Amino acid sequence: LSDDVTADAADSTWERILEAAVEEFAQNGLAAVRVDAVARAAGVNKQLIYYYFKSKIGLREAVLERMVREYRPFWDVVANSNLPHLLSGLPDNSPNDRWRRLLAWEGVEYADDSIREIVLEQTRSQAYGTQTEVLRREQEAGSLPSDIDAQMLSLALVFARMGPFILPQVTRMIMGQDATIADTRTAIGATLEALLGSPREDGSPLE
Amino acid sequence: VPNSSSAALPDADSSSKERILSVAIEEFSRKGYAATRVDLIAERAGVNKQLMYYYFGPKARLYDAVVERMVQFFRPRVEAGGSDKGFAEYFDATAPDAYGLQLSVWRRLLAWEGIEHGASADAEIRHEAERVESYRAPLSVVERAIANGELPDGVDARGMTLLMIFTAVLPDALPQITRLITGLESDDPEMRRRLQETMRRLMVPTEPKEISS
Repeated sequence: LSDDVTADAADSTWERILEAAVEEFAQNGLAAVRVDAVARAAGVNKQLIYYYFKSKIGLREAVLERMVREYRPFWDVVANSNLPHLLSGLPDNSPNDRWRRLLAWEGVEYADDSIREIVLEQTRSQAYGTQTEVLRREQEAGSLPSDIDAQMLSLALVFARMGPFILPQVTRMIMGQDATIADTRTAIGATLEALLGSPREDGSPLE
Repeated sequence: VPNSSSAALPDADSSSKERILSVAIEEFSRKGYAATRVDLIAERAGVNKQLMYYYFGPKARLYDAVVERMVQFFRPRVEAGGSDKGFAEYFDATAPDAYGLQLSVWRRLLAWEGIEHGASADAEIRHEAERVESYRAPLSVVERAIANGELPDGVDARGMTLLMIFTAVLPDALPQITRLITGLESDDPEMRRRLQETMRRLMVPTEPKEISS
């Protein structure tokens, strides 16, 4: 019994540290975060963080692993999706704004990193690959012109979804001060639908 | 980088000022505002910190000067010679690969500005009025193309303008995602070419698109 209690307590401490780390990393970036700040926010001492996560790099990897895990349901939706839904019917592609910020930090830091390593590269490229696969399926079905580069369209669709969060200042200057994020999504979604042809008649809602 | 010729900068003062600014542009574009250390900028520019403070004041003022350069850099490129262009002509004039890869410094500055400062409705945007004015060019080009029936029904001028900007800037902001999806680095000219061709194929009406339903 006492072993179980200890294990539970350790689990919840581990979770608390990870939660604090996600917040810190989303706020300040993956490089600028200080382990002291995570320790303070989690209410533990620094040594415990090193004990659990080995190093700041280990902590960063755990944070990105958590991000990948939380995006999984989104990619499951994508896998069962079709073109009209990819263009404008997808759920908000992130359960929480902080993951978008993490992706943004990871991106700007990646460009500055001479090693150019991507945490969980294989898992993540498979996830993005599911969207590209949907596009290829639509090409085979004849609902998307076959001369379109499915990989590049897939990339453009991710940029269309992430753009308002990476460049909120540009979005505001173009959409106008009063536009909501829903207005922006509608403007972009309608444009993509128009450019790629009207959604098919049989595009039934996902949920 | 703006200070291409030191011959245009006769006295030592303006040349060290330009040098500080060009190092600052590079540092802020690599690390963003918060993580950039002004000591390092002074060191890399080969000047002492006092001189840097004398020229630019504290970090926030130095960053102001960098953003001002960024706005100056993007302005003629966004406006692309005025809003009277046809859509295809405007699209090609603003194609990201038209300026080469040194553009990525400015695109990354723009991305950092967005990521770090966010834009809640009341957040201040530096040089907002001037920049809003610049974006009128693509907006009116697209609006006219819609009115002339050149673009398919349903295209939204703001959505179209945002898509053009996002696909130009985001490879530099999200290079890891670019690689995860395409297998190519964002600074690979092949990636740029393929993305640009795809956007052109989608956006610029040349031949009627045949889509079965």
